[in-house]
Amino acid sequence: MAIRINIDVMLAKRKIRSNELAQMIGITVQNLSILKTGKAKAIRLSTLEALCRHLQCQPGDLLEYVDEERRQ
Amino acid sequence: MNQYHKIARTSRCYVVLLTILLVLVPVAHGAVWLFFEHLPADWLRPRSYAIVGGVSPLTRVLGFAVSMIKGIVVMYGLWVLIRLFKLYQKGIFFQAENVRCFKHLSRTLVLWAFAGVLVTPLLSVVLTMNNPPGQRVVEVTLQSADLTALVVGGMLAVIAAVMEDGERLQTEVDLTV
Repeated sequence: MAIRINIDVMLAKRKIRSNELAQMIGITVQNLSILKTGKAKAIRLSTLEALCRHLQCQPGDLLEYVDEERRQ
Repeated sequence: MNQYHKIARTSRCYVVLLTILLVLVPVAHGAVWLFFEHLPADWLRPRSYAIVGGVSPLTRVLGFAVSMIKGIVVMYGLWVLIRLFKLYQKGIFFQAENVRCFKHLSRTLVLWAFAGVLVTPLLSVVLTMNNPPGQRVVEVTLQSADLTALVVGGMLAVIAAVMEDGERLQTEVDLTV
């Protein structure tokens, strides 16, 4: 997927564990893992909002576009 | 009791029922050929030709083998249905495995229709092979049940295609966080 979700980076910066974040934003650890591993097909605006609120960041800090064709 | 529990409970009942039927199909076929001469005249016996030469042990074995062509198709269909209801029992509704079950069921019904067309002439040959020359029969029929199976099989193929799209949507929902 050309869109990367950099939750790991923000978690490290904020020193928050995955399971703590999952509990804070009200999703399961499995779903957070889907986000972290890039398997997610879509992200709800409400989830993005909760992530930004608890990680104190902007959507742009979490989402990154990587042009995979150019990289190759 | 929520909807999932209702489906799981009903599916469990169907798994048991279908498993019993799966075992009964070959047993019933075997019993019919074992006690063929003792069956009531208007029950399961052909009406369009007479069995003059009697039913020899070879006739019984061949008759069982021929009738099991359709029996095996039925057993396969029952096995696929058991698999489908086991999936429902586990709460799996719109996954690739469900779609595969519907596709297999569709093919089974089409196969059943063709087996029906094939079995009747073969059975007539087997049952009249001991008849004197001139009284041996090859019966070809097209029964409405076979045509119905063909139509329902086609409908199931369409339902399987819709289920495939449902599975795609379910995957998308599952991977939406």
